[in-house]
Amino acid sequence: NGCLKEEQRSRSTLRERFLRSLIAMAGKTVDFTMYERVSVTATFAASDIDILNFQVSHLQTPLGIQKEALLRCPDIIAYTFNL
Amino acid sequence: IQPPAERPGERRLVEMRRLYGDDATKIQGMETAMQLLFDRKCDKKQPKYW
Repeated sequence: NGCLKEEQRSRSTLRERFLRSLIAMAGKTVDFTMYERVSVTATFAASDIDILNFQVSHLQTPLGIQKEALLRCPDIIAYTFNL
Repeated sequence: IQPPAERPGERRLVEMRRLYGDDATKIQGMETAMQLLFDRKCDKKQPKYW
């Protein structure tokens, strides 16, 4: 079935690109926009594969800096980083 | 107690094949590598939820 094959190819291309973007983000400073208009900045380290948790360092919060932390991905609206 | 009716990970492999076809092994390899990295860093740094 050519249609299914094409769909699988598109899906794997998108997935691979997304995974590579996460790998590229390791060690970079990332700005996170969270719910309730909270913005935080942290150094991204790693993500679990279900993209439920981001492990970060030097998390700058409105209440101070947390050396190591986990961010729940469902709490994040958007994130940006410079390549 | 019954022995397991299927091999562990088999269902996941079938799902990956359905989603990604011929690329399933490649994607699964990338995902496994990422998860291992995450687990190793979490073991070392013991981060808490913010």
